[in-house]
Amino acid sequence: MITIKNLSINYSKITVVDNLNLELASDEILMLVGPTGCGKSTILKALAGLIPISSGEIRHQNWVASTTKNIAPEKRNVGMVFQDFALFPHLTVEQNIAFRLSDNTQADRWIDILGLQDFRHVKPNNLSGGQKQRVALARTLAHQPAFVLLDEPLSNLDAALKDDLRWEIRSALKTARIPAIWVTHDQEEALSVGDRIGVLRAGKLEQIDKPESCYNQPVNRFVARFLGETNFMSAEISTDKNLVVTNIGFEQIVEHSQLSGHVDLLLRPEDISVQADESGKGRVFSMRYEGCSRLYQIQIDDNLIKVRTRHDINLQQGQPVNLKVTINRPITVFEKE
Amino acid sequence: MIRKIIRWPLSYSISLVITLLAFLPVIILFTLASDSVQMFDARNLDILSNTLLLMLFTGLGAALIGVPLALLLTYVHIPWRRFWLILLTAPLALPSYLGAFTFYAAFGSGGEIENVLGITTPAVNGLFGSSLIMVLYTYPFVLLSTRAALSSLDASQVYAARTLGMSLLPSIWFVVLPRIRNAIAGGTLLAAMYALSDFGTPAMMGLTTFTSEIYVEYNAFGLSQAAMLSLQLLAVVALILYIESKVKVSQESPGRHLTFWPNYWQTKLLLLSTLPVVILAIFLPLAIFSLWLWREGIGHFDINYAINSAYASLLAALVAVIFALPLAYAATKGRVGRIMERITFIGFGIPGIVMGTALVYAGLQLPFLYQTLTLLVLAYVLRFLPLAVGTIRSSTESLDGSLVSAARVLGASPKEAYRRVTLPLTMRGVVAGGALVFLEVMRELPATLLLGPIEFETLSTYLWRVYEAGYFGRAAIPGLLLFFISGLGLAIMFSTERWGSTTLNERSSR
Repeated sequence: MITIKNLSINYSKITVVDNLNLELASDEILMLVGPTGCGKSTILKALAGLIPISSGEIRHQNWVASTTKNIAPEKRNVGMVFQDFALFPHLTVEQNIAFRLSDNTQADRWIDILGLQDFRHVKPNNLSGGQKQRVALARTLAHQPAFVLLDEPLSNLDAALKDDLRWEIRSALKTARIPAIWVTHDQEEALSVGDRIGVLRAGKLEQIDKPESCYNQPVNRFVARFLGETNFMSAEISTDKNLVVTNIGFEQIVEHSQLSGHVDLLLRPEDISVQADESGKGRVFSMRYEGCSRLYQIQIDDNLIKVRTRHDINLQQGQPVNLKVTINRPITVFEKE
Repeated sequence: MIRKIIRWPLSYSISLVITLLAFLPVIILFTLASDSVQMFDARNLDILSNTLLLMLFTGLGAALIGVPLALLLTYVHIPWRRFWLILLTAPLALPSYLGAFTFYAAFGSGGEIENVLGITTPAVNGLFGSSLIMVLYTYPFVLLSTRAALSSLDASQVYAARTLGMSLLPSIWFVVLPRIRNAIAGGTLLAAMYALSDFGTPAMMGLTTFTSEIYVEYNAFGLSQAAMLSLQLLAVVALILYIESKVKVSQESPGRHLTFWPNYWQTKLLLLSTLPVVILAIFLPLAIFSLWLWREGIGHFDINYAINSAYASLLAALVAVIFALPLAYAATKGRVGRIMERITFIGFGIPGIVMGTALVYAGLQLPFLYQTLTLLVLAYVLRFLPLAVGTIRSSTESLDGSLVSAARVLGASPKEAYRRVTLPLTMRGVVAGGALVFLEVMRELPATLLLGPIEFETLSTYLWRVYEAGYFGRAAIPGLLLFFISGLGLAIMFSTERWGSTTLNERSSR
C-alpha cells in the first residue's frame, strides 16, 4: 500500500503538484486523469524517486520518502512503464525483460502471457509500437515490483491498438496482483480501465472516486465536463426541496442538497430522451451520427440541450419534439454560475 | 530539478582547453599573414577566379548528375535498389586525388589508354580536368540530400497535378522540384565546398587554385604568403558556410512518395544510363591501378608506408576520441557545453592544406615540435575532431529519453545503470567515431605533406611523390590500399545507418 501525504512539488517557483493526498490499496488500479500540464506525470516521477519533492511524504510498507530523506529509485521496488517505452536499444527483447533478473522464470512467464515468444531475440527498434509497449510491460512486471506506475502508456499508439492493449494491460496487472497508478489524459481510458479515478487540475486533486461516481456525481463543473458531455440546466429548488426544471417540465424531490433557490442541474445526454411531438416545445437543431448512437441538439427557447438516442431514432431537422428526463440515480446540482 | 543548479563541471574545464586549441590555427594564420608584403595582387585575382570557376562547374555538374540519379533511386522501383544506392554513392568515400591521379595518367597522348587500346584520348587536366574529377566525386552530395528530400515528399501533390491534366515530366518539374530546391542547393554547396578545400585534385591537374598555390608558396619558403592565401581561402569558406546556413531545408511531414514501376527494358535502360558515372569514378581508377600492379609488380613498395599511415592514424583516432569524450559529455550538460562543442567544428571548415600551413609555422616557433609526429597528430585531431564528437554525440542523444530512469526504476544503482546502459550505448559511438577518424587520416594528403616528419612516408604522401617523380606505376599498391580503406569506411557508414547525414557533414570541408 502506498500513502501520499501532503505532497507538493515545485519547479523553481511554479507549483506543479499542490498538497496531494491519496492512498493506493493493494491490488487496485488508480487512474490519474487531467488535462495536459496538470502535474500527473510529475506525481509519477516523484513516486519513482526520479525527482525530489518539495514537501510532504510518500509512505510504503518498506520505506518512507520525504523532503529530507530521498529514497533512490532502485531502492523503492517500483515498476514504471514509460510513454516512450524506454526499451534498451542495445539489448534484445529477452535481455530487456530480464534486465536485472538472475533467473528467467518470471521473464518467461510474462513473455508467454503477453505473447512475445516470437520476438525474444529481436532488438526493440524492429518492433511495432504495440509490441514495444508489451515488452515494456513484461519487463516491468517480470521484476516483480511492489507497485507499478504507468505514464500515458498508450498515448504513442494507434487508436485501433489502444482499446485492446488497454485491456491487456489491465488484466496483466490483475494477474500479477500488483497495484498501479496509471496516468492518462484520455477520459474514456480512465473511466473504462480504472478501479478508481482521480481527476487532477493544475496540480490539485479535484475528485477521487469510483469511475461511476466521478461520472455521475462530479464534485464540480470541471470534473463533470472533463469526463463527458454535459447539459447544465437552469432549475430551481423550492423551500419544500422540490427541484423543478421549468423549460422541460422536470420535477423531483432532492433530499440532501444544501442548495436552494436558483441552481444548475447536471444532465448527461444519455439522461434525456426525445420524442417527436407536434405540440412539443423543442425543435431539432442538429444531429450527429455516432454509429451506435445519435447525438441531437434540441433547441428549447434559447437553450441547446444535448440528447443521445439510439441510432435508429431518426428525427428531421426542425421537427418539433418533446424531452423527457429518464434519470434513475441521485441527481447532481451545482450553484448557479 | 528543483533549483536551477549552476555548476562548472569538470568536463567543461577540459572542453575549454580543447576549444581554445581549435582556435589556434586561425590565430596563427593571422599572426603569420601580417608579415606578408602583398595582400592582393593580379595573381590572386587569377587564383580566385580559377577557384570560383572550379566551384561553379563542380556545383553545376554535381547537380546535373545528382538530381536525376536521386529521382531514379527514390521514385523508380528498380531491383537491388540498396546495391545501386551504395554503388552510386560510393565515389563520396573515395579521395578525389585517386581519381585525379589515374585520369592524369590514363588520358592524353602517351597515357595508359593509348598504351593499352591504341586510341589517343584528349588530355584531362586544368580547369576542365579538375571540374570533371570534382563532379565525379562530389555528385553524391547532391544525390543524398535530394534523395532525403524526395523520399519525404507525399505523392498526393503530383497526383493532384496529374488529375488536373498535367503530364508526368511537367508535374515533376513544377510540383516536385520547387519543393526540393533547397535540398538540391544544400547538396550543391557541399560539393562546391569540397572543390574549394580539396588540394590533391587541382594540384595534380595543374590548376592554380588557393589550395594548390598555398603548397607552391610553402615549397618556395613563402610561408607568410601561404598564410595570406590561407586566410583568403578561409574567407571564401566562411562565405560558403554562411550561404549554407541560410539555405533552410524545410521539413514536410513525411508521406508515401511516388513510385514508378518501369518494365524490363526501361529498367535496363535506366540502369545502363548510370554506368558511365560508375565506370569513370570507380572502375577506371581501379583498372589503372590494377594494370600497374600487373605490369610493375610490388617490388617498389615499402611496407613501412602502410605501417606509418596506420600508426599515425591510430594515434590520431585515439587522441580524437579522448578529446571528443569530454566535449560530447559537456554538450549534454548545458548550453555552455553545446557552444564549446560547436566551436570545435571549426576544424571542419579549415582545409587540410591551411591546417598544415598554420601548424608548420607553430612548429617553426616551437622547435621541439617541428617535424615531429606529435604536431602531425595534432593537425589530424584538430581537423577530424568534429567527426568523433559528432558520432559520440549522436550516440549519447539516444540516452536522452528515459533509459537511465528505466534502469534505475528496475533496481539498478547509478553505477550499474552507467555500466549496463550508458556505457554500451555510447561505446558504439566511440568505436565508430574512432574508426571514422582513423580512415579519414589514412587518406589525408595535404596536412601530411606539410607536417610529416622527414623520412616519414605514408600511403598518401608516397602516392604524391610518385606523381611528382612521374613513376606512375609505383602508385599501384598505395592506390589499391587507399581504395580498400575507403571501402572499409563506406562499410562503417552503412552499418551505422547514417550514411546520408554523416557523410554530408563529414565531407563538407575537405
